[in-house]
Amino acid sequence: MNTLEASLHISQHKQQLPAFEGLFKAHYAALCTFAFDFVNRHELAEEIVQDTFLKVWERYEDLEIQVSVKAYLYRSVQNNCLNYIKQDRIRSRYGHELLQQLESRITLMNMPAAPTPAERLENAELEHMAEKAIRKLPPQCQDVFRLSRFEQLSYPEISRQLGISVNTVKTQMTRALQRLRDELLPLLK
Amino acid sequence: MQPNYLPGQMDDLIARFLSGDITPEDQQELENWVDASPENRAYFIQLRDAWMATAATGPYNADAAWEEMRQISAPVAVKRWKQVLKMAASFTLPFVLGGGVVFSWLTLKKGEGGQGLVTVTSPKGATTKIELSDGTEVWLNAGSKLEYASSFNTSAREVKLEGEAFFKVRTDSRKPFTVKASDLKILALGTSFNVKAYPEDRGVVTTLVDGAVRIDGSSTANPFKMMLKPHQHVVYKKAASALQAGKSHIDPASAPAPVESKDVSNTDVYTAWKDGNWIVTGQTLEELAVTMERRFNVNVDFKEEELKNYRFNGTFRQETLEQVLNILKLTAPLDYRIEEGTVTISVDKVLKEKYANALRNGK
Repeated sequence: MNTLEASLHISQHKQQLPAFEGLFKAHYAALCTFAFDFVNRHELAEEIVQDTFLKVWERYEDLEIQVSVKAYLYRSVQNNCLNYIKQDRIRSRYGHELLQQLESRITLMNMPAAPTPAERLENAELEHMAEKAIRKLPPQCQDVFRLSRFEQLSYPEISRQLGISVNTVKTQMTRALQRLRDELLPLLK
Repeated sequence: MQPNYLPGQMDDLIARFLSGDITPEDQQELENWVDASPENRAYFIQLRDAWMATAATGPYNADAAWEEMRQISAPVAVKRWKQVLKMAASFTLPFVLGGGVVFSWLTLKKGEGGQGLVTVTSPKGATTKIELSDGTEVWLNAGSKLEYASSFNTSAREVKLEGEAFFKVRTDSRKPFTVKASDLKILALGTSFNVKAYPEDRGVVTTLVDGAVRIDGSSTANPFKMMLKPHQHVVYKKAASALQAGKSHIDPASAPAPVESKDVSNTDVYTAWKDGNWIVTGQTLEELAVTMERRFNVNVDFKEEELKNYRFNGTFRQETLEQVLNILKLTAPLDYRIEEGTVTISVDKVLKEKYANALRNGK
């Protein structure tokens, strides 16, 4: 990212900085969470979101957002994921194999659905229903899912933490996913 | 579903993919399956979107991130700071491999001649990459420190290294690039090379990937100078006398030559760390423990001395500490415990006995 240029811009439309800061702080964490699903690495998710905000800032003055600001930010982050890791300085950081896996992951996560993931996140009802659906899972199934989803533990780590076999973790994870899909399907369409 | 997959097999791959716990091979298989039919694709998207619908907030701190962004991009009016900020702006965002936070920072100290001093630190458990104002790229390994004057690149290019770094030097024949490591000076033009000089290693290991560098050891106890050719690997060991400050010098003629040089066919072994890889070629567990301590920011204790001499070969990529230890455990009769940042490695006596028996019976 071109920080010198960014700083130049900051001095130019300095008076807009508080509004931009508000936007940043209101959406930063949620956008990182969103980006994490695409890249599966916290530090990369944060970099992408920060880079996206810098880009938004660079064009802040002549930006005319047609949809909601939130939807615009989500879409920008989503679009930036693949571009960001294609930069040479990011490529040099990961080995070839890892980079390929990362690109393939982003592509799979990017595959279009209607509504788009970004649009769905606008849907407050979905968030509410998702939490409800998780609470409906059987206790062990719920524990396994939460440790994977929210603590980002690996299967062996979950198996150790809960004192169950990796095979059981596997079974409970697929079960959780199936049930969540069944519960949320009407909302995902 | 495709007939050649067992029921549930793809569900497992999808769950593993979404949770991020999947091998590249399995992910490739999943990708092929998704591409194979519109039904597969729709099925995958449903599960993916159910997963994404459950996202909860992660370990992100908006206030800290905002400050970090400001520090890097904000202009500051005070003139004295301008120089420093310019330096800061010429850095790419330092990054960290293997999870964690960004740890690099700048300090302004009053050095000799009232000059500013820039220090970039990569603490244990993190690798940092920086770009200097001349375009030179530096990968700083865990537990390493790079220091240079704020006047860097105005008349000369000189950095001081404590720890390990890989340099990709931007060519500038008028200003040679100098790395000071321990009591050596390493001079480079446009070139890529690795320098390992952790204080506890009591020496400097230089590996040249391409280009040319010169090692100037004229201020060591046994003065020497040498030119390195690509793929040359030079180990310099500090003379014992130099370790004890204030003590008089040993007669240089009687001291053993401090430098060992060899040609290596594969320099990756020495530079793989910068890509997050870790190649092990016949190192002892004692040597691996030192790397583990830096890489994962832990202490490693050995319950039995004999463990230190176990030797290993292999390559680690993005494995966690536990994954590394589990892999070692698969190949040697050892066990481990992790408690409060300390890894205690012990001999697995039952397994060792088994190994010994197998060896005896095999003979």
